[in-house]
Amino acid sequence: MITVTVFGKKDCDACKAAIEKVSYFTKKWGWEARTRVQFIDMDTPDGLAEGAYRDVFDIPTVILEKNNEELARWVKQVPASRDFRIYFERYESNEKHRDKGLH
Amino acid sequence: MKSPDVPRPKEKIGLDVHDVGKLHRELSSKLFKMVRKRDGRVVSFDRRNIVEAIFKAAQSVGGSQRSIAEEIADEVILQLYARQGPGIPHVEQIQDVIEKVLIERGHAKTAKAFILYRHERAKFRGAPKTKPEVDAEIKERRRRPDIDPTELALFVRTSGDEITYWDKQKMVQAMVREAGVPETIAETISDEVEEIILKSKVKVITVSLIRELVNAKLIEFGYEEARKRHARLGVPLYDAERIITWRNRENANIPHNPEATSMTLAEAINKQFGLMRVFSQDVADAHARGDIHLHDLGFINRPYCSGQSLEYVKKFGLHLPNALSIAKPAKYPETLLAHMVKFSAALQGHFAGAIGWDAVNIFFSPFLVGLSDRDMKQLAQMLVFEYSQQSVARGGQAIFSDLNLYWEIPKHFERVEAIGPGGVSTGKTYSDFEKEAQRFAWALFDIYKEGDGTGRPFFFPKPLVHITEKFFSTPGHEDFLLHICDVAAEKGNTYFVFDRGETAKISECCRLSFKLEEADLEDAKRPWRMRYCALQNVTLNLPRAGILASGNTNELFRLLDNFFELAVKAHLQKKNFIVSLLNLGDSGPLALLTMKKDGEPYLRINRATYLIGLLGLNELVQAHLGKELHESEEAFRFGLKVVAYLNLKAKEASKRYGLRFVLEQTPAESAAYRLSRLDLERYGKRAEAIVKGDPSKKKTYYTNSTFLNVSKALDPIERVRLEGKYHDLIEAGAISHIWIADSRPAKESIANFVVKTFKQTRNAQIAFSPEFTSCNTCDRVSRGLSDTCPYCGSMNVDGITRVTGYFSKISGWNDGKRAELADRFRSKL
Ligand SMILES: [Zn+2]
Repeated sequence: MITVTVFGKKDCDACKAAIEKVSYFTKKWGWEARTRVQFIDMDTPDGLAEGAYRDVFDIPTVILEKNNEELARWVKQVPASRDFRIYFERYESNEKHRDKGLH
Repeated sequence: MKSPDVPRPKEKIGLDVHDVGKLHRELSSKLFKMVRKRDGRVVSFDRRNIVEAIFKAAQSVGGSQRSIAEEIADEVILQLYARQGPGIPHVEQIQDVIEKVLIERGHAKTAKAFILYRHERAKFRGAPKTKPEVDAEIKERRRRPDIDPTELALFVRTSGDEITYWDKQKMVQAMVREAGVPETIAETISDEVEEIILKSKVKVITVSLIRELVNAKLIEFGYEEARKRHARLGVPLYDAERIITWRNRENANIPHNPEATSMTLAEAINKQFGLMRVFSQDVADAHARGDIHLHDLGFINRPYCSGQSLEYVKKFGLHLPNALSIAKPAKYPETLLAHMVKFSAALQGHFAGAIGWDAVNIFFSPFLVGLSDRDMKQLAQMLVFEYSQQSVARGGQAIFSDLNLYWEIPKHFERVEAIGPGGVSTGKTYSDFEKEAQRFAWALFDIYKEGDGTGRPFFFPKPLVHITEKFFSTPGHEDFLLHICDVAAEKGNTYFVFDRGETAKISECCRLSFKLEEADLEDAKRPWRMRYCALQNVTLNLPRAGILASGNTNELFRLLDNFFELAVKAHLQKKNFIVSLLNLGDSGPLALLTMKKDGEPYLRINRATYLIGLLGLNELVQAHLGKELHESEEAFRFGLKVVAYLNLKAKEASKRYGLRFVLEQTPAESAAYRLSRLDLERYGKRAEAIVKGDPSKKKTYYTNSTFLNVSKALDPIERVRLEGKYHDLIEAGAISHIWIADSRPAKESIANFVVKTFKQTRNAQIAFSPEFTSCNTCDRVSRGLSDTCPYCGSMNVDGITRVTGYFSKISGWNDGKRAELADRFRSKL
């Protein structure tokens, strides 16, 4: 499972764009089922606290994790699709390897 | 008091000499009932004392006829009456008349003897009475008990140093004028108070006692509001004596000397005034109860703390309102230094807290071109000593001062036109003076490394080195970092301030720093405008919210809302008061802050910040979840949620009022102690479960602001990392302390630690605190705290370390802070 977390605010266009972009491409690449995209609202105490815990203060910040392990982080920018695509591809090839090993 | 009908003494009244003498005697013994002595006391008037004084003088030059002395005495009394009427004569006035009458009557020799005697007595006046003198006085009083008090007029000792006649009407006037009591009620009250006083048969009553009697009646009559307006401020005699005699432990930065005790006495009245007049009852009560803590109430008549720009002094010289002389802009570095220090002293009288100076080495740099290393060091030495030894400023305190320093020229100053000698532009930018700025910063740390004349660390001024991203690409930064880390290891002075990313910060106070926002960066182009202030500091008692919520999270946040709104209200009230003083302009007490040299008032109220202090987050979480911040991830995260919640509340309040409310790490020197004591008193066991220190001995404290438990043996970098997660939520600046005590880490280890902190954490500021024992016998300083001097064995030693944000002698600390000191986990790094 890959988790993409977007830390942002409701009135931040770049944050909205980040969410939409990540959702759009994961769908396009056929990763929808294995990806969780979540938005953390930094205008709420829980969101702000979560951000602080994870050393996030600028928006948008996009964090990509696999099994709770942070693989990549984009601060104050909407990541280019090719930049986060590599993580999905890597995950995919790892899975294939594992599949091969099992058979 | 009715005046008796008395004929003018020199009138012919057709009686013979003998009869006239008799009449005089009769009259003179009735004219005055009281006399005022030199010490201000009023005692019963005794004609015999005058006779005795004259006769003694006559005897000393061979005279022997007492009857002449009697005659002269009567004449004296009559003349005195003719001169000044029926009031209470002063002993001095009587003596003046004695001299006059003796001379008029041709007793020149006696007059001379009398004058001599008078002067002899004057010499001894003021000397304390000896035991035999006192005993004699008591005996004399017993021998001649005063006349029946009911026969005496009632006298009132005023708040000046005078004694006047009892005048009921004055009570009425005060009630009507000061407190708006209806006149008929005031009349009734004054009648009743008069009755109480007359029944008591006192002879002299003080106005303060009358006022309290009136106040008691006002309560009885249901005029509670009026009573408040009619209140009298002051301290009990007992307290005044203690303040004058003993050291004040409320603030470790207050020395013990007459100026300081005068300040403490003044603070007592300011505090009462603030709580009664500046703040509303609910706010004042919340402070007294301990829901919130209003900082520096003793300095209610001024803003809290401030940040200055040396550019202002360079451009405008020292031209202060009401000053006796005016100095043009400095032409030489020494002059600039003197202006800076003197201006700081003046500002210390206008702010409650710290006076911070931005980019000191950079702004000095145009004055330092061509200075030899020796001169550079000399200048640095002057600067540090001038600040650290200014114990002539407010209340005999050293100036609570910060020097903000940079190795690099930070981006926001790179292209700023540099002001040079004479206050004129150099035609260059500050980037062109980087070398001079760096040499000066280096020299300052040479001085810090040496310490004072006995090798102690300097308590003030505090050097804060700002490290921006650019630091790491500026040549020589490795060596400079080692240099300031050397000082950190050796003396502890260095504060490492981390300005990550694009944020520029200016530090103003104990641990206040401000991120420069858009408008501020605009100011940076004309840096003399960069004057900032925090108007007030109000701390929330977080542990209390934790205790009262009894584990109910909704209730906890409701209580936090409550405390927060009280704090906001307090801020608005303090602001109104300060603005009303500022509005008096030149003729007001804050004239200095209203001067408009650059078109704007010196204090830019529209840029003011309103601080909401956090105290005891650790204990709040402990009360709520049963675990301290460091004890579980849940506890730690919950702490973050509380601070995030308050951060958003501050933003919301800022919008609501158009004022800048920000969270701050409370410099809880006395608040950490005070609030823990108040909670212990109110909530007993529930508070005992969370306070730190020793509740059985009432030596308790709450953990400062958002810090982790100081006694927990955490790896220092882990502590800095964890505490740093709170720092971005606390916009007025934050710090982590590393208590290194008696260990002396290598400068390289500290440098590594600093770089790691910058690059791998969100921590905003760190400082390393060693401990010292300074010997008053042999003047040597040793590492670590001990009861005796390791060099000479003397027990006359001072322990020195950081109390909160600054170094001070431990002997001046309160019990709570001492308890914290004992708990501090000392790290070897
Ligand atoms: Zn010694």
